[in-house]
Amino acid sequence: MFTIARLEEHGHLVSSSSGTSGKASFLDKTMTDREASGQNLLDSLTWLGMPPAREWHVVPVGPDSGISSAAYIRDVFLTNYRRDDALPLPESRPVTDHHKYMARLGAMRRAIADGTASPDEVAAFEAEGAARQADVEDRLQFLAEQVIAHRGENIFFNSMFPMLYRLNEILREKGVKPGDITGGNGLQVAGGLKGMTLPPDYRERIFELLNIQPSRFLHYYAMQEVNLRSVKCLEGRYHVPPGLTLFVLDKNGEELAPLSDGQVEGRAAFFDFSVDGRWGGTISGDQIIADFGTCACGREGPTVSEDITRYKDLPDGDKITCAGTMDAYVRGFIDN
Amino acid sequence: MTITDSTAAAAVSPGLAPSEPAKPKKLKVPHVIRGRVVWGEDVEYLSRDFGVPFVTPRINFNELITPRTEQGPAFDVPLTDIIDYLVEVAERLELERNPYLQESLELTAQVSQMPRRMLVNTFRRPGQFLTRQAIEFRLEKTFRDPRVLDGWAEHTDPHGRTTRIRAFPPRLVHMLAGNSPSGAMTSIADAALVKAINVFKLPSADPFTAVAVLRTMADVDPEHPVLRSMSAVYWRGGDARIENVLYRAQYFDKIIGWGGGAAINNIIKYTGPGFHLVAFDPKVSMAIVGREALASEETMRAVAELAAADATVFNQDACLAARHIAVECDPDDDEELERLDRFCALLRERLNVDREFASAVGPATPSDIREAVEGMRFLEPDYRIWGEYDGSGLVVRSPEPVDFHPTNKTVNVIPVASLTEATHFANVATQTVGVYPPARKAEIRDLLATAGVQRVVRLGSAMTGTMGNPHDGMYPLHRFVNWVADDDA
Repeated sequence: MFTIARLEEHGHLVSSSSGTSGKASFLDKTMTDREASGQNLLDSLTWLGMPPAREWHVVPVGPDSGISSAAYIRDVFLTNYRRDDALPLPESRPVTDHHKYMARLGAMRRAIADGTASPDEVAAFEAEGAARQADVEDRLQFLAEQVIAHRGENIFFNSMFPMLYRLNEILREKGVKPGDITGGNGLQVAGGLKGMTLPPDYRERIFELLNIQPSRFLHYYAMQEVNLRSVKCLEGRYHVPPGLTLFVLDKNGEELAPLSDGQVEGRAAFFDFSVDGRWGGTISGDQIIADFGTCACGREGPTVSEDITRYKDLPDGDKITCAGTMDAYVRGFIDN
Repeated sequence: MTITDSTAAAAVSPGLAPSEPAKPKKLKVPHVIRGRVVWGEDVEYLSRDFGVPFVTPRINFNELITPRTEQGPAFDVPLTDIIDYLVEVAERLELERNPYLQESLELTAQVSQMPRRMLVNTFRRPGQFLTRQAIEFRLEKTFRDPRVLDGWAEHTDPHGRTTRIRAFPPRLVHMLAGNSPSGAMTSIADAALVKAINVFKLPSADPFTAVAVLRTMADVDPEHPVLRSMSAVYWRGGDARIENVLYRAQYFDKIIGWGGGAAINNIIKYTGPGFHLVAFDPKVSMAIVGREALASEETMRAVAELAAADATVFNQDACLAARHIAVECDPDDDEELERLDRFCALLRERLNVDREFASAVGPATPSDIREAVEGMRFLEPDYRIWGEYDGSGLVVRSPEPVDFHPTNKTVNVIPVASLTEATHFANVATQTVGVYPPARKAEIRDLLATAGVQRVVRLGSAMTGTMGNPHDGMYPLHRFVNWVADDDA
């Protein structure tokens, strides 16, 4: 992925993703996009009542992905919130080059479907995945010790839920019980469970152990294609910020979905006025329920219910037909 | 079957239009328990395709399961009686004269993605498989000596040891497929021929047809042991409260599953020693066309029609519908490429035609295909597109197979240097390969079978099968029965 590095040198900050078909897609961003996203992070935390203050220990739970945009956002957060004598972070050791890994994952998946992947290649790929997993586990063990050592001080966790749940499990394995951690801790989470299955009370278990109050929990709805986050209020609804226009389309993303009693259900689409590298319009793969009235928290403007489902994850009931796709024949090697 | 009264239309909010559509009517789906029709409104479900609600009776497990201490009602019924019964039933499975099928058609039309005209045609189709001649021929091809179905057929081995073999009637769960009503009819006939004890799990896309067939059987003879061996019930696929109870070796020998994805992955959790899956896998199909097709405008037209006939079966929602078509041609030769493009244009025209099992304009192209195809428009001349996204047909020529799954009458044409090269596009998911000219099937059939292909046909004949052929790499009835020996050795 030499080319992506070259593009970055010239101001094209490419982000990539790889679908299950093995096809990679690329998104062109500029430094202006990156800065807008960084500023929006600070604005979102301020909106929630946590303006920048360098008085936190910071725990980025997930591993360094090696993606420069993620590193940028992480640095914005560290610069504005991390205290000078904060607990040490694990050695920054990108497990792999993200773009390269995603491209290889896609190619591998396709090779398996085609029948051209050799057993040795499959074994090597499996071993690499296991090694990545072991690195993540080491990192979580290190962080767990640090959390225990600073259990009475304020810690801000940045994570996705599945990994944070694993940290919670490790802490419990080490004998930590609810009430042992007493710092007024904060948390920011982007996205949902990424297809992982966690116990139904995963959130309660994490919050009670890590002592996180809803008022110190930044949970937002966003995607790679937009710079601006829709932040969840204490009433549990994501507020679409000024600068971001929400459109709720029908399932096929062709027409506006019908509005009923101020509510509308359908495919989320956005126009982000802060986007600089592209034209700013995005049709997502998410099924959402939006409300255009006043939220129970008292704020006006469009809000999105927390029940967000990717259309492709919607249960197809008990659809049974003889017609299939190659997907049924490939085990493992799904991205995310 | 009856339709309940329409619930009140959703109130329209003043000043806000359009509003939600009125709530659809609830459909009543009866169960059949050991041949008896049972009505009830205990549980409400939604159909997968259009979200039409329907209600069913609650499932009574003890009534549904025949304990292993009991023989099945049809175990000792002679095959000739069963064939007589099936043939008589088949004669009554004529849509025009059968009120249950008519009712089923009306109800299926409300929940099926297929247009009514095609549904009518699928209701007509099973007749040709359910004649005495067809059934007997199939049993002979499958069992060589169908007497093994009726009793203990004796033979002696080269050492002089005598043994008796019986194709013993099994206990089966059938996960019916929902993409064609004829599937329900043929599954019931198969179950009857092996004298099995059967539970048919009704599909939400068509919870009616199997019940309509069983009711027709009841009209012919409500006490017939074959009918008394059959139950048909609905539950939501994956419902552990039902499946965790039913799916046990103590109750069933085999589960017959169609398709893949969540439905099959879910069954696999329950299979194990003594409870086996007989899988009709989710399949894709393709076509391979020799350079003979491009010889003249006339052959191009004829071959385009054959290819379109294969690609459009059930508007391409069928395993045997071709999706990728490899055409022998040198894309670097301008004149040959021009001919290939002419073929693509003709193919696109023939996709936009009403057929027995296809609509001139079917369901619209899904958005993932549209997005991918829009990108390919920038890649001319390596890629070229014919047709529209409105369901009237789309042809995409590409240098290698496209990485989306062509569906809704989307055909991917790929130029190849030779028919052998085209065989590389076949894999473990490939079921049927249509070949033109048919004489060249022999050139590639071994390579195709090596790759995983199960059926090589003349282009245009994907839907026409010869009687008694294997299906999905097996003789299904042979797999259904339990082979038991009474050995004197």
